[in-house]
Amino acid sequence: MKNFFNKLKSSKRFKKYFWITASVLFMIAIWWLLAETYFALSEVIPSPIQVLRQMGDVAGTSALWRNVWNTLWKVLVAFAVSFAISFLFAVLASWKDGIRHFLSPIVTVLRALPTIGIVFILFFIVISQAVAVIVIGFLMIFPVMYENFYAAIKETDSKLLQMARVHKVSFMRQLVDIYIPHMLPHLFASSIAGIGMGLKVTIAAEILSFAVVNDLGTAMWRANIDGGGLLFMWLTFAVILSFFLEGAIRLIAYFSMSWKRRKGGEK
Amino acid sequence: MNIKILNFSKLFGDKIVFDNFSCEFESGKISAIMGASGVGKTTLLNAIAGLIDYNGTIEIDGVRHEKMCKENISYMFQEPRLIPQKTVFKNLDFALSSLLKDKVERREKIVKMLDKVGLKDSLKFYPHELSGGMAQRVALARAFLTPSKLLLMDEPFKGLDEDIKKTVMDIFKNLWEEERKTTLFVTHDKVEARELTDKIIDIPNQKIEATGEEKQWQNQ
Repeated sequence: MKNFFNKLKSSKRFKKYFWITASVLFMIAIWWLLAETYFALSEVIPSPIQVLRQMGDVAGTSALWRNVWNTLWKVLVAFAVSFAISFLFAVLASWKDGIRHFLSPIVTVLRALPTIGIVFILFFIVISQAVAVIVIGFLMIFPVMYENFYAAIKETDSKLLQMARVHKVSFMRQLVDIYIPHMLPHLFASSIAGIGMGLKVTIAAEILSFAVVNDLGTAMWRANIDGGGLLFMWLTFAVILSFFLEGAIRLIAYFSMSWKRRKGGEK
Repeated sequence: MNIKILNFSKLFGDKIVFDNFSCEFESGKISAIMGASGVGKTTLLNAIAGLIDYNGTIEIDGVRHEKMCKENISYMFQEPRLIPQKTVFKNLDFALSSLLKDKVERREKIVKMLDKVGLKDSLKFYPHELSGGMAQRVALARAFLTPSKLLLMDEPFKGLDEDIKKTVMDIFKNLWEEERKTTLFVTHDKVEARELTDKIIDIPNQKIEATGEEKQWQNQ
């Protein structure tokens, strides 16, 4: 038994999860400390226990799932559209310098645009709240993903590309067998960043839309008006949702790059 | 396949690597290209393969070849250049995919070639599971799988242990004997050059040295 615990303590995985758990507990401790001291008399930050209780009350109701789903699908659509368009434009930009130069100022402007400004303009010109929120999500995610994808394509092993060229391998096959596998780590890293950003921007846009819709943003807006510490509960749900979205991408990455973990073989 | 290089010039920035260099490589022979590091041995191979731009003329069988060589060329690079996420079999299949459309035929050829290089049992291995010698044998298999009459080799045995180098060289000799591709072989090693090639071209001096009659290992 002692041996087992010694082995466990020295294992890399144990150390990793030990520090992750310590970090989570540290955040909860800070939260709890703030709630019980500085914010003890106000309802701005309720204690973790209170939030947990509120979450338990809402968990069984359809309101939670409706709110989460109404935000989630907008995040997923904005993310999917951004992913596809970023990938396509990155391929085109790396293929023709002219396209890259043409896209460069557009991407710079999109990156610099303040979210709130776009939110107000879009809600003014777009009738549907959902469409406006998706467009805002896309405008925020696209520049980040496009630049990551372009950099990944440019960093593709030129020696492998030369080898493919000598063997007259078609561009499609080069794309599938050389470019995309090389890009995978970059694709997943920017997807994690993109989906997190997408969720934040979507919720912010939902709040600013002042629409009477059942989604996380509107729930937060209402909670802020109603008080009672419910805002913190919805924030916690948003963090959990973000955690699951990121986890899903990490899981896909894990299976997509399984060949890297294969070891052994004849030497 | 006869290769004629006429007034070949190549600049890298301000540095002149080749200035009106001319030479000829005979069909069905192995020629060594020698010279110190940086004289442009790899550049010459890359130009023949159509991988870089240059000034001058390169004629393949009397036909001037422009940017991309239309002829099929086999090229064994300094490193094996294997796609890391593909198995040995799939790496060879990738190289052969556009040159041979029939999948079954491709598979047969690959398995047969892997047998010849002694890697029949390693076709499901990934590159990171191969030793340096095994990876170079896969590269050799790929070079001889390509239906071509010209083989370019850029220091293919560099960095291999003596025993492994000998094994890979022996495999090369056997494979070459079967097809007798015109071979241009870049090396630093004079012993290696004398053993394998019919002619040595010293690039900076443009001096051509015949290494003797047909090699003993070449069947008369």
